Amino acid sequence: MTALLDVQGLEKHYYNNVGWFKKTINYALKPLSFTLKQGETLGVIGEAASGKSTLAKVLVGAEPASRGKVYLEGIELNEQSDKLRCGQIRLIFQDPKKSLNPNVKIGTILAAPLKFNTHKSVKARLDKIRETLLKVGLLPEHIEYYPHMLSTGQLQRVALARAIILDPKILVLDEAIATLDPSVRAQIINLLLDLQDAQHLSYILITHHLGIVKHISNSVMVLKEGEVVEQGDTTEVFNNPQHKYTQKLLGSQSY
Amino acid sequence: MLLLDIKNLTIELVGVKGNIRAVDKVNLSIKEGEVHGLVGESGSGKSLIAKAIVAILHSRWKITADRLQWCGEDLLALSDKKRRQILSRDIAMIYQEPSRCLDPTNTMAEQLEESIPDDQLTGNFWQRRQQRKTMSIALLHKVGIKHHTQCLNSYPHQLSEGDCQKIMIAMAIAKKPKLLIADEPTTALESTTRAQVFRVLKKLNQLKNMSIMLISHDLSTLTDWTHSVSVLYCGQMVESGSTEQVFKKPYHPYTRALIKAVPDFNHDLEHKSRLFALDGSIPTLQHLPIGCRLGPRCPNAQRECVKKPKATKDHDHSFSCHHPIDYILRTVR
Repeated sequence: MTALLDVQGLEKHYYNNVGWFKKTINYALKPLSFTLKQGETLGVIGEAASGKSTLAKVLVGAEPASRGKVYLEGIELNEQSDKLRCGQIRLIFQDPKKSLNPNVKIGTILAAPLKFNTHKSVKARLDKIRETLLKVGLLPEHIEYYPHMLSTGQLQRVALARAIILDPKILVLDEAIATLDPSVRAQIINLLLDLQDAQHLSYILITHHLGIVKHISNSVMVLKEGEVVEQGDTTEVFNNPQHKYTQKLLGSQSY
Repeated sequence: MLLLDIKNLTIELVGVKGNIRAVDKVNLSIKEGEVHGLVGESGSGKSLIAKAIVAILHSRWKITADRLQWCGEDLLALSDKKRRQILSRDIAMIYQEPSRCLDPTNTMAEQLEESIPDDQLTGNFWQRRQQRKTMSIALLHKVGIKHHTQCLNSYPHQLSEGDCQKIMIAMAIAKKPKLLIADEPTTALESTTRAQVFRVLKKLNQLKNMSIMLISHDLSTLTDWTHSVSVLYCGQMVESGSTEQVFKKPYHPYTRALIKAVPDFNHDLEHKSRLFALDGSIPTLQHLPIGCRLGPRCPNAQRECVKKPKATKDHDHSFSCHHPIDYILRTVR
């Protein structure tokens, strides 16, 4: 079986202008490679400013990569294939209260990705929205609700619905779980696992909560200042960390 | 001796269609040198209680209590001025989200020096400026910031969230309070800085005998070092007692659910197995259920649950539930 997502030598850097002619390169992400199979989860852990969020942005195409190639099922993703990328790799943000527009009803929020990416009729769109809402454990009536009428847990479900409404293959969760309340977090984790079973979704889970990574990810990647310091099977990395930084990170938290 | 003694604290939001009870008859007491944890999910009124103690709630909140005593003095009966004197002398609070609570237009040096009270300074007026400076540097060292000159000369946005949080702690401990209220001091931080902050707080508690009220939504951060814990749900006190009792033998279904929802990922948990979670979500303030507020979500709710349960006391361990789990009622001889 070929890998669903194959990332080779992905790199992101920025230029800092020093004086008139001098430039220094600031690496946000040093060259990294990984593969992700269908129905599996990759955990990305690291401290703040270690390039975790940059990785998420580059993968979904919010920011162009400086170098390196990304293959989705053997097809290379570049500037021309934004449409494919949009449909197949979706991002969930950290705070659902901020990432959902408060002026707009849930139905409109969910219709937007369908409008932009598919040629569905209005009725087909509505059916799809209803179906997706049921899938994430909400009711079809929630179409008429505004974001402030729902609790944080429900809003995170809406954000999840917006991500899966295009039937993607990969979801990128940028700190989407760890900041929730414990009982809501357990609910959302269960929902994610159910969806993974039902639709064979793959997740890229970016978080600093090590317990969750240990629980739901198949492989794990440790980032430090944009560099991958350790990469491998979750149980192996957690039971036998090789790099000093990983050992420090694992020791700092009782997970 | 009891430092803080609260009985039946009720906080209401005054409205046109009647008042909304955000916090419903909460009892709380903190001994000297104790670390007390206050746990609850968002919207359970943890921060409200903390703000009510230090009296910084907006006037539209109505606070009533049978007893709100600080070292034997009833705070609610005092005049505003007197009360402020006592509070500013004895209680300090670390607020949520440090980068927002610090003044963005002032440097850290100004803010930190401002928080050092005058009566700690000795010497003549021309020496005081220098004294404040040395004291603020000493404070920064105490909370674990080594690059003090750079830190003092910068504005809040130039520092990381962890450094801002440490400066907030430094400002709070500048007046050497008896009680430190820490409102979610570590939510914004990542694991290594979180460990540092806890180490600082722990050291203060042990060396200076400072009491700490630690507010958090994460049970796992509390287990190691708090002496006692109170669990809140929707403004009702659900269970309270010593940390060991509450975590080893929770009687209330909500406490049990909270503990189960954050399992120990190290031991006997199958990979990708489903976690335990209560159905439903926390009700909003407009739609609070009557009686026991956990009622609609509780797995073993019964008819009596529409009435608010009374607190049952078993030594130091108290809980309010009609149908506690595994609790054998002891007859009073």
